[in-house]
Amino acid sequence: MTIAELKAELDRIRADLILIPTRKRYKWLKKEIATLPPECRDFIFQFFTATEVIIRDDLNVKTSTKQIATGLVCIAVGTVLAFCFRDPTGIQYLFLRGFFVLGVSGIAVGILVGTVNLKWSFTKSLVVTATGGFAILILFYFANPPPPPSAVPKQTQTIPTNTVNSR
Amino acid sequence: MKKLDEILNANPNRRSEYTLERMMELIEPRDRDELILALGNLVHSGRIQKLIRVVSRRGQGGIGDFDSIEQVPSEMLDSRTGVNVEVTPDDLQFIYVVPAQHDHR
Repeated sequence: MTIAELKAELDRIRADLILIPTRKRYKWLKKEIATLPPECRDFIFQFFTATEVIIRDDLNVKTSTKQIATGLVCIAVGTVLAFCFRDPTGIQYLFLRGFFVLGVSGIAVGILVGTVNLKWSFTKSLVVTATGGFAILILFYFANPPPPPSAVPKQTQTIPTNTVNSR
Repeated sequence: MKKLDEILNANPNRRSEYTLERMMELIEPRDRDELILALGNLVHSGRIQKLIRVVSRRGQGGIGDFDSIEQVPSEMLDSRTGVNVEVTPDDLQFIYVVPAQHDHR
């Protein structure tokens, strides 16, 4: 390919590109560039991203929909299980919290893609750094956790008042 | 793209130039296209500038900088070798320029 051919190719692509909505340009441009010699593909892509408005939304929309759907399923499962097991054991409590936290972080990731950063210092030597969904997961799991259920069943803890009075 | 922001603010008083490959080394993005699109947005916003550089095939360096592709000649003097060369797309490099802060004023 010569410089003249490259210029002609750029003019041809630009003439079509400007007629395409900005959100669809990325996919279209990648398809168009794929038909060109490999050695000039990067240059042409860089050229158009710097001269025309190109928005890439193909990945974000799909992943966020999947994440929100998964999050909703996890929350639904967690909610159903929470009402099925009124006095959960330790391991049941662990799984219930896991479902809820996964659900919330899934939805949050779908909505706030890549916008949440967290740096959590447990001790001087242990610092957890998280971004996006994992940050939300850690935040929900550790921040203000509800008290775990007592290991001893509630019935055994209550002492009948008449027994106390009789002593 | 926090790293990209760090690079842009690294030398505020000096003009810096980066090729895509150099940016890839410095930023190590998950996706090459995302970086290119981010750089494109920065060009649109005026935060950085672009230029097209013709690189000498033998001399390993730039022999001419142009603001647009229309200005690139099909033949030019390679100042590094003293020979007139035909410019091909292989000789072109897209350069991202981070201007010195006083250049914006």
